[in-house]
Order: sequence, then C-alpha cells, then structure tokens
Amino acid sequence: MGNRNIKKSLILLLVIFCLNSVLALGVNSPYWKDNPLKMYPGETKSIEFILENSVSEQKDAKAVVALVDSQGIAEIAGQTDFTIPPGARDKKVIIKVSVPKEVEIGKIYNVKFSVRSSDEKQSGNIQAIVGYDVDFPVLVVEKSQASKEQIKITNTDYSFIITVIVVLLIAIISYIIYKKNKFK
Amino acid sequence: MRKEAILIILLALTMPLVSAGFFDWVKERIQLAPSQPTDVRVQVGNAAPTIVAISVISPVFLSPAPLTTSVVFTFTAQDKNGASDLKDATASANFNRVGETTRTATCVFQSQLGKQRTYQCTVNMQYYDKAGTWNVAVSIQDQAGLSASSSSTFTVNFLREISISPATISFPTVAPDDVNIISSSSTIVTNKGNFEVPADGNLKATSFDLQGETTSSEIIPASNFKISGSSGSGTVCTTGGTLMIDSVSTSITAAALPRGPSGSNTESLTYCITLVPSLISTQFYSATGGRAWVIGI
Repeated sequence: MGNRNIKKSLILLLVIFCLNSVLALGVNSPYWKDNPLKMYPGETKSIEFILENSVSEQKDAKAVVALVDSQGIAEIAGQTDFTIPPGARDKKVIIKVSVPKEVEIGKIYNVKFSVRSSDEKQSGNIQAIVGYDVDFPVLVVEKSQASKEQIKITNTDYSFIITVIVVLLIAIISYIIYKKNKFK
Repeated sequence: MRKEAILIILLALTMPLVSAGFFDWVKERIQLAPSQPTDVRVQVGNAAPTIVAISVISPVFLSPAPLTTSVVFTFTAQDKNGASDLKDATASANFNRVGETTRTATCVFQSQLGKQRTYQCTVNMQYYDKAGTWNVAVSIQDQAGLSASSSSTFTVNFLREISISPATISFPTVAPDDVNIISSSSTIVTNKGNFEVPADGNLKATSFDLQGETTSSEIIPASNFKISGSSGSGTVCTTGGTLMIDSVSTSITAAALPRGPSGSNTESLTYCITLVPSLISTQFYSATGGRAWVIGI
C-alpha cells in the first residue's frame, strides 16, 4: 500500500515536472546585423519575422510582441499576441517600415522589438520565460540598391495564355468580318 | 598632251597581250592534274557540357531543432552532342560556406528541352547552419567524362530559438541575513537555432524583485541576485556572477551558447542570492506572471 502511494506521488511529481519542464520559442529573421534591410528615401514596406515553436514541444507557445525602439520609422502592422502550435510556421510578426523622403543616403536606423513568451502562471519561487530583443538595421540606399522582395520560383506556362489570346483574337476578327458581310 | 594620250592608248592595248603571255608562261611550267573525286573527312569531337542556369534560391527560413530544412532548386545543363550525352547520375550539387559543414544535395532528372536537361536538387540544411551568404555549387559530366560546373549564392536567415528547462528557478529555504545561497537547480538553455553566443550577441536575463506572497510590500531585491553560465558557476556568488538589476535586461558575462547538433548546444545557468534582507518576514517570495524572469538572446 505504502509503495503504491509512493508510486502515485512520483507519477504526480513527474507530471508536474513535465508541465513546467521546458519552455521554447523562436524568431526567424530575414534581416539582422550583418544583413540590413536596404530601403530608399520615401519607401514604405512591410517585412515579416516568423515565430517558431519547435515541433518537439508538447504544447502551444504563447508570445507577446512589442516595439522597443521604432526609430520613428517602424510600427507593428499585424497582431501582437500569438499562439504558436508546435511546428507551425505561419505566425508572422509584420513590421511596417517607412523611410522619410528627406534623409541622406547611408543613414542607418536600428529598429528593435521584443518577443516574450507569455506562459500561464506557474508554480515555483521564480517563473522563467523565454524572450528576445530582435533588432535589425535599416540602411538607406539609392533606389536601385534597395532590398528586393523575396522571389518565389514558379514555372509559368505561357503557351496556354498565348493560345487563349490567339483564339480570342480569331473569334473577334471572324465576328467583325461576319458582321461586315452581313450588312453588305 | 597629244603624245601622252597616244602613250596611254598604246599601254592599254599592250597590257592584255603581256598578260596573256605571262599566264601562258605559267601554264607551260605548272602542270595541274585533271580533276578527280577527293575524300573529305572531318572529325566532330565530343563537346564538353555547360551549365546554363541555376534557379534563384529564396532566403531560407530554417526550421528549429530537431528538424532539418529541405531546400529545393533546379539547374539546367546543355550538351552540344545532344541532351542524351549528359550523364544524369553525375548531376550533383552542394551548399558550402567557409567554416561550415558542406551540405550535399540529391539531384534527379526533371525535364528535357532540346539539348538541355534540367535537374531538381534537394539539400537538407541543419537548424544550426550559420546565417548569411552560402554558395551553391552544381556540376555534371557527359558520357565521355567531361564535366561542367557552376555556382551561385543564396541567404540563410537568422534563427533565434532557445528552450529553457526547467521553467522555474528555485532556491532552498533561506533565513534573513543569509548570504550566498545557490539555486537548487540550474536552468538548462538549449540552442535550437543558428544564433551563437557570444559571436552574435549575449545570453541575457531580465530579473524582477521577488515580492512577498502574503505581504507584497516586502521584497527581496533583484539586485541581491547574481547569475552565471557554466564557466562561472563555481564563483557565481562572487566574481563569476553577473549582478542583476530590477526590470533591466542584463548580459550574462560568463555564458556561452554554441550552435550545433544536440548535445553540443547547451548552457547551464546558476543563480545566487548574495544577501537575504534582514528586515523581511517569514513568507514565500516569488516572481511570476508579469514579473517572471526573462531568459533570452
């Protein structure tokens, strides 16, 4: 009987330990210290940072995003509270960046935002959570040198489109000729 | 004037005669053989293949540990001897960067157009592959063993991802005026991305004062805590520890968090209460919810 109680207690402790054991959260950044976002004066664009939760985690991660330093050019365009299931890759922090028109080429802005896990209140003396200060430089460049949008590779088959256009043209011309002949 | 004109006319009349005489003289001395069929033989040799295109590889968002990230791209090779002269089995590619493990591709024949063949390659990248510019190298051989190669570049994005375990920091029971009390257990930080401490930045902790759970006005100040990585754990209460400040993100100096495969990508954090205030009552003191301590990079 005593052994059973000990076993039950151990299992309960193990469950509690597992619930509090691991906390994970990630941020995937397209721009960072060595890879600045290049924008030209007067340009506005939205960039995306993907929030990650390792597929090996057993529960959803909750995160709160806040702008720490906008440098007067950035704002969070989308949501700020996220629930990220393990393995999800569709939770995106969208930052809208607008570079003023009257700014010299070569100027660098350092934009910073924070991402904090917002796990439910846990037992223990001190609760620990995961957090990041994500900063990225915005470098002002000439228009020709600005960062391009990510290119998605698609194999477009133009032959179908051309065929449709040709068929339509033939149909239109035939119709016009038919109408002309009819009126004659 | 008349004399000059007569001379020019005479010269013009004489030239054909002289010319005829000259060619007759040549014909007499050079005997040409009569025309006859001649074999013409031109050897068309093997032409080396060429790489005519490598598809653009979009910046790669790596998946966190333990997953790998499949990167798919194509390259097109041409052979003037015909597409069938390209040896499909030799189509190969890799991603490489100085100081990094080369990631080798698996390439398969995808399509053919004229004298060109396109191959689709898949490379599995690891979550800890360094962020920045990577080279993509492709090559192929023809049936005679002549080869072609080419290269391009693409970007691997920056992945910050850590996990902490356990998600609580605990201390043994302490009494007022106690000094240098070390935490009951350490926090294991696991790097699941390609961020590297200290190369890319520091491991940081933001701490908050511990408030009494019964009398919240009584606190153990955050500045009475020190934190250290594994290299300073033995002296966390003295020289090895970084002093915390309430609500401030502080870099943990004696901490390193390598990127790498499982087992080589962790750091252990140890904490110390340097002094328990003498004028606080007996109760539980904690920092939870909005005052939870933040471990990050």
